Amino acid sequence: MKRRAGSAAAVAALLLLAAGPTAAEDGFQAMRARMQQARDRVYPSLVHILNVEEVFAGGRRRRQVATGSGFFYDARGHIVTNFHVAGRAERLFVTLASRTKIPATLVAGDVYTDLAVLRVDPKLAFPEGNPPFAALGDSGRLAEGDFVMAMGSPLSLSRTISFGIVSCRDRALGALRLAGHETGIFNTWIQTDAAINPGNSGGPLVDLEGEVIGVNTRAGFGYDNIGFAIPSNVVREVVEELLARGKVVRGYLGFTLQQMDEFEDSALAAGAPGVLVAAVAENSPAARAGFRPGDILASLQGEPFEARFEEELPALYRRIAALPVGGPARLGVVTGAAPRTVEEREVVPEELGRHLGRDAEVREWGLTVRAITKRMAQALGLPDTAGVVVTGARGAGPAGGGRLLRDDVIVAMQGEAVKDLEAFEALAAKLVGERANPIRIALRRGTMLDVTVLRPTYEALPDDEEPLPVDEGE
Amino acid sequence: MRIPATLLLFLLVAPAGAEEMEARLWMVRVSREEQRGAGAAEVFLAPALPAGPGGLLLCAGFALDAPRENATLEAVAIAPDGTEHEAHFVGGHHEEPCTFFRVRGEAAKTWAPVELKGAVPAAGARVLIVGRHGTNLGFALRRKRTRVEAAVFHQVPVYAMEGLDETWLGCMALTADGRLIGFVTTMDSLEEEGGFVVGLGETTTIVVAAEGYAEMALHPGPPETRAWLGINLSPLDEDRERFFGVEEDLAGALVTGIAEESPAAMAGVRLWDVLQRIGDVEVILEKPADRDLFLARVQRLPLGKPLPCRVLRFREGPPGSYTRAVLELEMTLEARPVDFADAPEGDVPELGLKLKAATQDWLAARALAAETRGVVVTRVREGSPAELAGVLPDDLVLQADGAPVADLDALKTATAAARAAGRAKVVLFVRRGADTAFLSLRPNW
Repeated sequence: MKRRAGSAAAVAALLLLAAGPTAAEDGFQAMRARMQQARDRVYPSLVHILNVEEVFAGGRRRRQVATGSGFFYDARGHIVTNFHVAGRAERLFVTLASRTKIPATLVAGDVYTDLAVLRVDPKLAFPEGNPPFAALGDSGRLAEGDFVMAMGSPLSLSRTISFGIVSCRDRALGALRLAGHETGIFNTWIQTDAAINPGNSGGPLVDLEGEVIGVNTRAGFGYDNIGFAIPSNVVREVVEELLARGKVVRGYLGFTLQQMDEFEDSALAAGAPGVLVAAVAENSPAARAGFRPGDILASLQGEPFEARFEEELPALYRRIAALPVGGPARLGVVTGAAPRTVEEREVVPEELGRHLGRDAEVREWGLTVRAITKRMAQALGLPDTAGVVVTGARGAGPAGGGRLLRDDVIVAMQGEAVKDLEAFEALAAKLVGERANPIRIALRRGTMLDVTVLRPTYEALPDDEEPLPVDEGE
Repeated sequence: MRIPATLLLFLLVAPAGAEEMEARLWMVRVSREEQRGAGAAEVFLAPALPAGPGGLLLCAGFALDAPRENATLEAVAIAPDGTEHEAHFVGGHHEEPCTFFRVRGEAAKTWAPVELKGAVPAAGARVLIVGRHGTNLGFALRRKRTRVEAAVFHQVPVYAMEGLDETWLGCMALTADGRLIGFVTTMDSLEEEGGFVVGLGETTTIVVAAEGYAEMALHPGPPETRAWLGINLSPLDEDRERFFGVEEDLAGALVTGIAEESPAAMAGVRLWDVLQRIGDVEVILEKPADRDLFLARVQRLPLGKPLPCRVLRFREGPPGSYTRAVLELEMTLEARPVDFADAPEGDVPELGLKLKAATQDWLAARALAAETRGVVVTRVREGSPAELAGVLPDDLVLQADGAPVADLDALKTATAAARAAGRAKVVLFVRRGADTAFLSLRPNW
């Protein structure tokens, strides 16, 4: 990592040397002063985050410790970090720049942009008052080659700064998965060669003005100098909404869009400019309004709606997300090429729900399950959202031994239909209370509707482990 | 080295039956390639015997290794004279002692299987281990004479034999008169017996399974003459019996899926019936290999003729209790829809694709609607327009340049039309998993 920071600084120094020894020395000192100034504007707001989170996998609910970075966003004690650092937190502690460790609470999170907001009591954190917070800059002003510093706690090495340049200001990475959640659709990424390692997540990417222009989020691990930050303009929009409403409300139409550049001289080209509909989700507002894959959209609410290149897609998804839920929207679809004709259709956006449903555990059965959302039902090829999907069964438990497998859908227990996770939890709690044995389960496995029984003994399972101790912090 | 007198005697008295088997030994080369990601092909080599009519070859079970999703399995059969022949996997299971492949083409037409007889030898019996093994120069015949040191009967008979190591895995063990004892399959189960020991699979199972596939091979006919029921069956194990409150061991298998308008559905078979017999075929699904045997037997049943069919039907009583009734139904079998494995593969060389029309079994395995029409990519040529555009094996092509692609001819027609119109690109609309996308291919016209 030293090599990277060193190389960027060396380039800067070489450029200055070209102007003569005295000028070079002055320039070098000026550059150093500017970097230190920028550092000092953000460094005091930097925090190291320790998170004890719940994970449901392999048939058990477990606690695991995650660490990451963050920074104070305002004087009220709000801290911005990544959702994947703190979004599933059960308990949170932050270590301030002063190295004081204090508890924090989760305010809200947004999985679609991988952002979360925490809060600490400012009086506890900064008894002398004047809580430091970092200013968000304008990521729209960035250009490739701009100097940037990544601050955070890589590998839990807190108060670390690495230095580099903006390698690409608007990298498109498409839809990504974050522990099963869909993410990355609504933003492009600032790519940087400033070292970003595990633990940097949630930390600020800072320009030489000392403003936060991104939140460091991912990196190409195993590669060199490939890190990605969420642009500050997206961060501002999301964090403000999380603070105001506790969640980001987004409109949803059900489109998957594709850029037009590859299709310009093809049989589909007749519609350009515009954006290609690659998929229309079943039972979605777009499907109900008669849209189909292959349609070319040209306008939204009367304004041009176009993407020639992939990096233009996130902005279009943000415009769909900004549509008021339940209010009609107007979408223009190309209906003729020569002359070009566009027909406007009305479509009523729904609220974009979570991709993944809530998790639950039945400890006595060694079983973890998840609520089925509409989007999961679609991905799993299920006819509807009825039942709960198995996320794991403990090998040594009653549900193990192949009785229940990951992705099985439990549709009924003891002859009672399982409508949703709430119904499952209520029924499971009743059966556990009665120490019922056997438990008769009807399940959907792929295209089959099968049956099995669990024979719980209601004794501790052989692979039970002590819950992870939680460090209360000093 | 001192040669024991008994071994010397054994060497002098060459077992004629075993040698005949040895001369007829083929080799199967199985390669498996992950369809997604950059997984390299894995290759397994296994000696094989012509075990039944119509090009049927018998190999050790491990030739298949553990099956994995999204992997293509390709097999080449190598004849005793070294010629290579296209082959395909027909049945068996990696946990069973044997697998079966079938040679296609001319070789299958002049096929002469060996007479397969099983044997369960006692300790002290003389054994010939034969196989072929791959070297950088090709394939060489390997043989070794040894003795059964000890025979231990667990669930399956396992024998200890001296002088074998892992390079003999997959080789066949024959008695002096050419009876098959089994395949060298395990290495570690008999250490207490002394020496370097090897276990062998159960012969009886192999012979029974071979008979099953032989039955199937005897009626190879085109796929449209093979009968099917249109149901998914699951073994009626203890868990499933307990679900219905059954305490004793019932015969038959549980119906866990049923295709609309299939012969079973038309006969009145319902979900969670227990199918016990169809025609003269008893339904037994206890081991993985039973499924293939059952399938083989069902495929031989006559089409278009009502057959007696016995099912057990559970009726729900008070919560948690079921009563059951035996029903005698009549089922008229229809021809089995062509399986994906048997479907003909076609080629669109301009795009660099090999494809097959989507079959019902392919669609059902992916929970796609039965009425979906499209062609499935089976192979993408390296460096081809399709590879450059990101087409992957298992992609389902639904449209080409906006026109529906119900079969291979439709894709060929659309490609030809693009060329005739002077277009530089052919746009495919594909389904991959739960997603759909357009891919733009630039053929080198």
